[in-house]
Amino acid sequence: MNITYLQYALRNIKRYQRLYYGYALTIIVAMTIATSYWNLVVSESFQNIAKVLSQLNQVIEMTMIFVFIAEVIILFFSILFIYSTTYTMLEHRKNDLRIMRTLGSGFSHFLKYFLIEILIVGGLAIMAGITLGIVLTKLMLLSIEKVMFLPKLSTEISVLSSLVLIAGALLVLLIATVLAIYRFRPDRPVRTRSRFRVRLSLAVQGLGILTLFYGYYLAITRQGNFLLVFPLVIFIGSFFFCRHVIPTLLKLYRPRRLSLRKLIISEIAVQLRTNSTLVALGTILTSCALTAVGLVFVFQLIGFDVSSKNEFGLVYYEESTQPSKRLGTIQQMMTETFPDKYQQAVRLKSFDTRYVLPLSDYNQLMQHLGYEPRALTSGEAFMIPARPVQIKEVTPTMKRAQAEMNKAGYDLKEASDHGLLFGYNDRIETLFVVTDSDFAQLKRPLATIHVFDTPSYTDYGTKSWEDWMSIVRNIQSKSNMAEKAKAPYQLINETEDELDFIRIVRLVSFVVILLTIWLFVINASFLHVWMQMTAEKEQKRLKTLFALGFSKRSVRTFLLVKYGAVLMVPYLISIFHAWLLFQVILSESGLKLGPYLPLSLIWIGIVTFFYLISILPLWIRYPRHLLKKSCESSMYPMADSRV
Amino acid sequence: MIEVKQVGKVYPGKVIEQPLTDINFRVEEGEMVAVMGPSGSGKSTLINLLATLDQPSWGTILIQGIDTATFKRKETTRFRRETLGIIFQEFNLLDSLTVAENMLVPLMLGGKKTKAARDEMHHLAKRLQIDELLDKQVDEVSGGQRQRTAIGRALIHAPRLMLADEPTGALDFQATKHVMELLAELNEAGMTMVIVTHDPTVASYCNHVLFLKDGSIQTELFRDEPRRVFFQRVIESLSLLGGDEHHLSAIRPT
Repeated sequence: MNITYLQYALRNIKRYQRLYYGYALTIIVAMTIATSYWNLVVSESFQNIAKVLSQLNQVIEMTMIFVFIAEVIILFFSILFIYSTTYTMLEHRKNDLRIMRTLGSGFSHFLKYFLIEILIVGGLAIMAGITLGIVLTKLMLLSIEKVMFLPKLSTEISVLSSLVLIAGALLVLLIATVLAIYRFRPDRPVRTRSRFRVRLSLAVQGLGILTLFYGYYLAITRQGNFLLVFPLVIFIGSFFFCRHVIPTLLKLYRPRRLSLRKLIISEIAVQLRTNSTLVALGTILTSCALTAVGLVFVFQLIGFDVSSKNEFGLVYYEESTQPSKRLGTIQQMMTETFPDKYQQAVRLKSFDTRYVLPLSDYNQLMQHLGYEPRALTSGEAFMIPARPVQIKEVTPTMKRAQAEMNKAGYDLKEASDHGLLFGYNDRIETLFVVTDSDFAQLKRPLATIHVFDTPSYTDYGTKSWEDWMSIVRNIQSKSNMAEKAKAPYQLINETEDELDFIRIVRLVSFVVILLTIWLFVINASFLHVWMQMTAEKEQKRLKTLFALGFSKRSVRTFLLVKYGAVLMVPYLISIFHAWLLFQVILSESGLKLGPYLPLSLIWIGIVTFFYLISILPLWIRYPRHLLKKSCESSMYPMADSRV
Repeated sequence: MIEVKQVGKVYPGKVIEQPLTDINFRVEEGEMVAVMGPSGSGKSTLINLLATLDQPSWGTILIQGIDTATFKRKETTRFRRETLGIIFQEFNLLDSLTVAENMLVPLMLGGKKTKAARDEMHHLAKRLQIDELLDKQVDEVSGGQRQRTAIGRALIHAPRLMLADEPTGALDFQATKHVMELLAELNEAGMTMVIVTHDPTVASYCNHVLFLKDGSIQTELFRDEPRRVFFQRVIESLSLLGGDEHHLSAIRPT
């Protein structure tokens, strides 16, 4: 018979298992989603396909930005959640900590046994999360294949990337836990707040309220800047309404006779006031979820009419006068598989990243795509877009290139306005068309790009698409890729933005839906932890109510109404804030709210439904649990101070 | 052993409370001291100060000649772990552990896991008559047994100073008697004790009684007579102090 730190930690885990359920569940879900996103980011086949289908680069960049934002949100809320749960847990176990302290437990001992607990529960949850995350990755890649019209993607899960994930997760766990412990400071006596700090906090509060109203002003006048203030508005707004506005309003209710109703209302006021940190946290979480889902809707409704009518092709780039063996292979493959598809070679000469091509090659390609040919005389040139951004605006790089062309003696004509993106890669920054004779006179090494017409998205699911994808797979296979420098394969595409938009919407919806699920889980588990913690106090209160002669029925009503209000009021505040954001986004996109009103109501309905499902167990079961359990008295050794 | 000089304690807050004004007393090595007084007289505050769980607002407390205010945090912890044993009215056992494990916690903190320590625990449990309950969870045993477990926990590391805050407050008469006899026995073996109590019976076991009222020491008694006679003197002092009626009516002659 003996007792070690490990045994003590295990006993505590067993004893506080109800608190740890929610804790572990949230970490598992967070880890699952984070792992799948992470695997997506490091998935080699996903990245390779992006290199081959260079037009995908943009989509993938966008996707990666969203995945990145999602990861940051998960990270932020994980830290927040672990921090507040740990703090709540410490509050709950204050008594044990005090006992240990009187027995001579120093801060280091405390860290030892508490961190063991956290590491056991957190570690197991992380492992479970990673396992589930790998499963989710498979599912995710499967659906990405479908929604993004891609060939089969394989999941390579490297040990290193898993280790990085585990290390990151442990780091987050430790940071959040240590922060909570530090704030709780179980071994330090209470100190009074200095006058300076009191004033500082008053000033910060005043500033906060000003920011809040400024945010509301921006929202009402539908200014885009609201998007920037939005996170602050959620935070401050929740605190402000829960802590001050609603309790003050509720206090105004003063019936002549003391009744159950008055009791319920004053309880709600007290609960909102004292639990405002929790309440604000819940609000923020649900707001984010709501906003996220709202955004998906906005994206979807803007993207609804997008149809795909794309030219889709392969552009092979090579800097050599003699065609390489690999080009021969690709040509052969393409000719064999698609004998009636168009192929063309385009000559290029380069000045660093500035490339010129002859007019005849350009016109030939344009004619194939159904454009009017252009004419040039000697000494004239015009610019064509080399990168997506160049279709929309004149970039500094373009200006510099134009200046250099002028310096070289060219008379620059009006740039092309067809929106055709002439297969871009890292090397080609700008593109100019010159006459054939001018091109021939340039003393520069010759490069070639070879253009192949290929099946398009409309062929998705047919045999020709399958054949095309098998060629893509062949080109991207590692043995071939390793031969030469980066990304020699490019796509040429007439209207890439529209289709990319469909892909972005689908992928972002995917990311956001997962994120929303997680936010609901985290909200529910935090509420669970909080209710576990307040159970003892609540039972005492119920005992008092029974002793005062309240019937079981009125006590049940009391609990239902009270918890209903405590859970729903912050939610309604969050609906309000999300609505503000929603309408600002709509007006930013140049849309009117009118036609989208039913849609947005459906959106609110769906989210409310899921929110209700996530809180229902707490709302209904917790009061029942409270009523059933007998009242236990607590034993605090030193109730007067946190010594 | 303990020297308390001009000690006062103020709790900060909106309503300024002053549980202790100016306290002066000495506790010699091997003494058994009772601190008596009505509710709110500052008894628990005094115990917290002696246990270094709190710092006095002014004045000095010397324990074994060292000013507790000069203790660094680690030294405070070590002092509590090695020199001090504390017993509470509400036992304050850790619910998640068994009786035996509760008793072994100070050894865990002290990093002692030897077999000798475990033997010592068994020996102590036998002496406290809880050796048959060692594997039970603490919520499965009675109040008296829990208090004995708490005493066992306070004794396991053989502290030189024992502080007890109402050790018999939650116990019935028989259990009180048993616990006090045990404490007296330990005191005879050389352990210094400070016991905060309401109960004159408990005080009568001690050889030095301090009467606290409104945060200051009103009177001190030293015992040089049999316990029964000393008990009468304690009651007289309580009634002379104006004490409170509650205590006088609750007195049970032994």
